[in-house]
Amino acid sequence: MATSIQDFDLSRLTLGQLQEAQRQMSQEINMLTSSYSVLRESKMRFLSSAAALSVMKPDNKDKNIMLPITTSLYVPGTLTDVNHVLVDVGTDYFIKMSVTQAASYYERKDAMLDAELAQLNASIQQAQQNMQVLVEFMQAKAFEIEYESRMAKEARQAAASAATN
Amino acid sequence: MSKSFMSGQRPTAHFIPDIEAYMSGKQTEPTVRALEGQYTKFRFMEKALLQRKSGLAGRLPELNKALSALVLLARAADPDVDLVAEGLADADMPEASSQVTPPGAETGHFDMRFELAETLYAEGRIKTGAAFDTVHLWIGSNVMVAYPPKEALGVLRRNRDQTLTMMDGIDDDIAHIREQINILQVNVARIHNWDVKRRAALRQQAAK
Repeated sequence: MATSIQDFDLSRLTLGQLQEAQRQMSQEINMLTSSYSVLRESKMRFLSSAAALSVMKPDNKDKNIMLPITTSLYVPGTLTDVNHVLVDVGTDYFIKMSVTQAASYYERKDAMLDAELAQLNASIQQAQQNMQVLVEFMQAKAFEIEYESRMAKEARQAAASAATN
Repeated sequence: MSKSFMSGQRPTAHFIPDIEAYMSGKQTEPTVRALEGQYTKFRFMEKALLQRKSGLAGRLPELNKALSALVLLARAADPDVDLVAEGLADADMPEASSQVTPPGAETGHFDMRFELAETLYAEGRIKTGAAFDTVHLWIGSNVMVAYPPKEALGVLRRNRDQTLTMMDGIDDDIAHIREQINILQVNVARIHNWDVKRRAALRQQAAK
């Protein structure tokens, strides 16, 4: 996603352009970090769903339990089918799976998210590196401008004192 | 104003009818600064109220979901009950009236899917009729209370109505606070205009 900043000739940019680039880059970093945390959260959710599968075992069939109707409403009942679950696979599709199928589904999801997280992490690091290079360039540029103006001033002063002598 | 969510009297900003009289013996800058301080306070109150309101609004979907589930459960527990007639359900819920046979009336149980974890549903069975006499409500702060289904319905409905009334009260308060903010802004603007005029007059005098 993020290309290396070395591909651009930064020395040709003005200080204002550099600042603009820095602003854009910090926006990009923010965006990447927030999508990273969103992905991490959904990984956590899949993990806890996978963990919940452990109660689906023959021992628990017809045992009296509290069924969660909503997050705040529970009623006494029993599990009728401990071999199958319904999995919400997104975009309003639900698939009835065996418990082992569901476990492998969540495992695949987890692996996929891990891959995406790793890729995103690489992008974030690249962007942060770019940012650092940019900041160094900005500092160098600012120093250069200051140095030039000081030299110009000294030259003027030297010229002035030469004229009076 | 009994609906007001804020305790005690609501803070009020006063409109300044006569700027000339109000400003006599006062300096412009500190006066404006004091008014702007009030303005910030009102803005802060507005923000707090909006936050409170969105917190309440966030609770509504879960309440409504639990309510419609409870209507079904109360009927399953007692097929002869007419929840609409008893004022426990709204008339637009056909399954609440005794005209509609509730699930499991013949078999003594009904099967349903429930959310075991996020994105994961399992199949469960609930006994109906006299064998089904309690539901459990999660009241919050780690307390769960068992109720007969009909009573739970009453509790939740009261809960929801209270939430709605509170939101109405907060709306009132927000409208009030916004009015005060307008008044303060107008006050500041008028003092500013008065000051510009006054300075112009002073300059003219000095020029003479």
